[in-house]
Parts: sequence; C-alpha cells; structure tokens
Amino acid sequence: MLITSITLTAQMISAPGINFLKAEYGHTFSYTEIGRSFTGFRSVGFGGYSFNTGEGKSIEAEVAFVNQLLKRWNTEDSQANIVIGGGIGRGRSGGREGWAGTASFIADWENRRWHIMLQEQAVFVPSASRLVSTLMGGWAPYLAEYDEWAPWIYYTVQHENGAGVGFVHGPSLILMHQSLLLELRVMHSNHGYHAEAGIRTLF
Amino acid sequence: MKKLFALIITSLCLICQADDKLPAGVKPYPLDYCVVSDEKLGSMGQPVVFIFENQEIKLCCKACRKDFDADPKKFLEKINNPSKETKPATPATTTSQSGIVVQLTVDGLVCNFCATNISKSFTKLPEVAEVYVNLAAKAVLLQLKDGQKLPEEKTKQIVTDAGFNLRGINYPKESFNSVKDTLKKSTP
Repeated sequence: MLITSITLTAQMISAPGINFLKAEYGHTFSYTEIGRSFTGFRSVGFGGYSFNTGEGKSIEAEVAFVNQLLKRWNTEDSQANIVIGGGIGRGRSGGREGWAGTASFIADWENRRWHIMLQEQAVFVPSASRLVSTLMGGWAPYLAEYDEWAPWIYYTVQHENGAGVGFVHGPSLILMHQSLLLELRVMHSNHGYHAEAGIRTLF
Repeated sequence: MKKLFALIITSLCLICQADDKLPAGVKPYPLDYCVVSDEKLGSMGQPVVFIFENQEIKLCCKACRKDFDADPKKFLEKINNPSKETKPATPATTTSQSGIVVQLTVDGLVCNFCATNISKSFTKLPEVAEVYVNLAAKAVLLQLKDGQKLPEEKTKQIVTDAGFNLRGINYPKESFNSVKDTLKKSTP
C-alpha cells in the first residue's frame, strides 16, 4: 500500500555517532532502513533502505540516502524541525529496471503531548514515479518517562500521486520505551484495509 | 465594604504573623532536612511547610507531600526519633562515585529519541561515569568520574551538537542518586 516509509524522523539523524534502524512490514509493503549519523557531520544521516509494494504497480528499490536537518527550533517544551533528504539507487517496476531516486521534505512540530508532521516525498522508479504526500498527527494519552512505556495514538493521511489507490488513511498505535519504538497501523484505501507493523531503534 | 476591607487586612496580618510564629501548642520542626527524602531543606527551593497533628512539618518539595500523606505516622515517628538511617544522605553512602554532579536544563528535550541522543552523546565522554535524563524536568544529570571536570563550554557544545539548546547548568551538592530520585519524584 505505502510506497515508502512515512516516518523519516528528525531525531534519527540529528545526533553525532548514532546508528539507526527502521523496519516496516505489511501485507503488500515492506521497508527496511539502516543508517548512521557521523561525528563531524552533525545533522546529517547516511544509510540505505529498500522497499517494495505490491499494490497497484509492483515496485522494488534499494536506495542509499543522505538526510540533512536543515533547521531545528527548540523551546522549553517543544521542538520543530525541517529535514530534507535525497537518495539514489536501483529500482524495478512493471518489468523494467533502472536508476531509482528519492527526494523528501519533512516539517514537524512536537511537544510531549502532541506531534504533527508533514512529509512530501518524490520517488523516481522506472515507469512508476510518484509524489507521496503524508500528514500525520499524534497524541500521547499520558506523559511517560524515558524508562517507561510511552503510548502514542496517531492518525495518518497519505496521498500517492499516480498510485491509483486514492487517499490512504488510518490510525496507528506507537509504543516507545527508551530507544525502542514499536508501531502498529491499520490503513484504509479504496483497495480495503491493510495492517502494518514497524520497529525503529537507535543504537 | 469598609468592614470587608478591614476583615481582609486583619486576615492578611494574621497570615503574616503565622509565618513567623507557630500557633500555641504546635511543636516546631526539629530537623534541618526533609523527613521524607532526607534532602537538606532549601536544596529544592522553598520548603513546603504545614502543620499535622500539632507538629510543624517541613518538606523539601511538593512531591514529598504525597509520600508524607500516604503514611504520616511513619514520618512523625521519624521526626520524634531521628535515627542514623534518617540523617541526610551523603554522596559516599549513596553512590560509588564521588565526582562532581552536573545538572543541565535542556530546551527541546521532548521525546525518547531526543533522550537517547543526548544520553549517548554524554555517555561516550571519558569524564562521565553516569547519565540520567528526565523528560518532565527537561533535565540531563551527569555523574562525573572522580577528579574529572567538564568545562561549561564543552558541555554546551555537546548539547548543541546533539541538536538541543542548553538553558541552564548547575552543580547540586547532593549525590547523583539523590538528585535522580528527586527528579523522579517530581515527575507528574
């Protein structure tokens, strides 16, 4: 269903010397990403990811990416970020194989109770290039500490230009504990409902 | 209207007097530390003062009031019979480290991944023995190794490199574990 991951979080690229891993799986979708931000290259993350989606046109790609935290605003109780990213690799779709690329823009704002994020991502794959727009909002039912399980409830609306699936939308439950994030999503499109699960961690 | 005004002034005077002098029959608080946390009074700001069963009580912070209310008899007993175990904790008895404790207040510290980032940034420093992050207090607590110092400029740079803003830095006299416990208690 989803052509690419919807959660390219700013926190995963903003610290020097942090490795990050992200994996998401669903009935018609899988996505894995691993990367590292290097000391001396503050706010830049490097890595690679691969994804495939079986809905509409079948698409597969393996991409090496660079993300840049363009700007962060920190206040006493909140944080806002602007992140851009780009990647290049190989992709396959509709029986064709060739160069693949991605370009993304993310703006988000969060405090300990609310999180809202807008993401625009262009995906260039032979015969199946798309622009993916994502808007998601999250709410924490209660405030948990770093060493406690912190639940978040999100709602995501996504539109894939050219995917033929209309608007994709649905709720998700996120559980965070220290540097581990677990996510369960139920997304709806004009093709029906799909369940997806994800995991993210820093190490 | 005048009567009401006079009543308000009189009440305010009585309240002011009450601050300085205890009502008759009320025993003054005999300790110079909080009977709940064993922290020195004043170390957490203005002490919380109230009267319970004709005994003046002074606590280090609001969080301790909840603990007191949960079992007031236990703490009254501690006030009337202070033993060795109720004396204020010292760094030597609460932590294996006797190095400097540094408490940072950090802007933008709002989520678990933020906490992981900043925690890892300090953990890998050779000067740092232990790191604790409290999201509610926006606090990063550092236990430095014995004899080690962490210059403020370096501290600020590390916080900035991790993507946050350093708003404040102080050096609590209490032990790392003691400050950590207090921060945990303060969490709503």
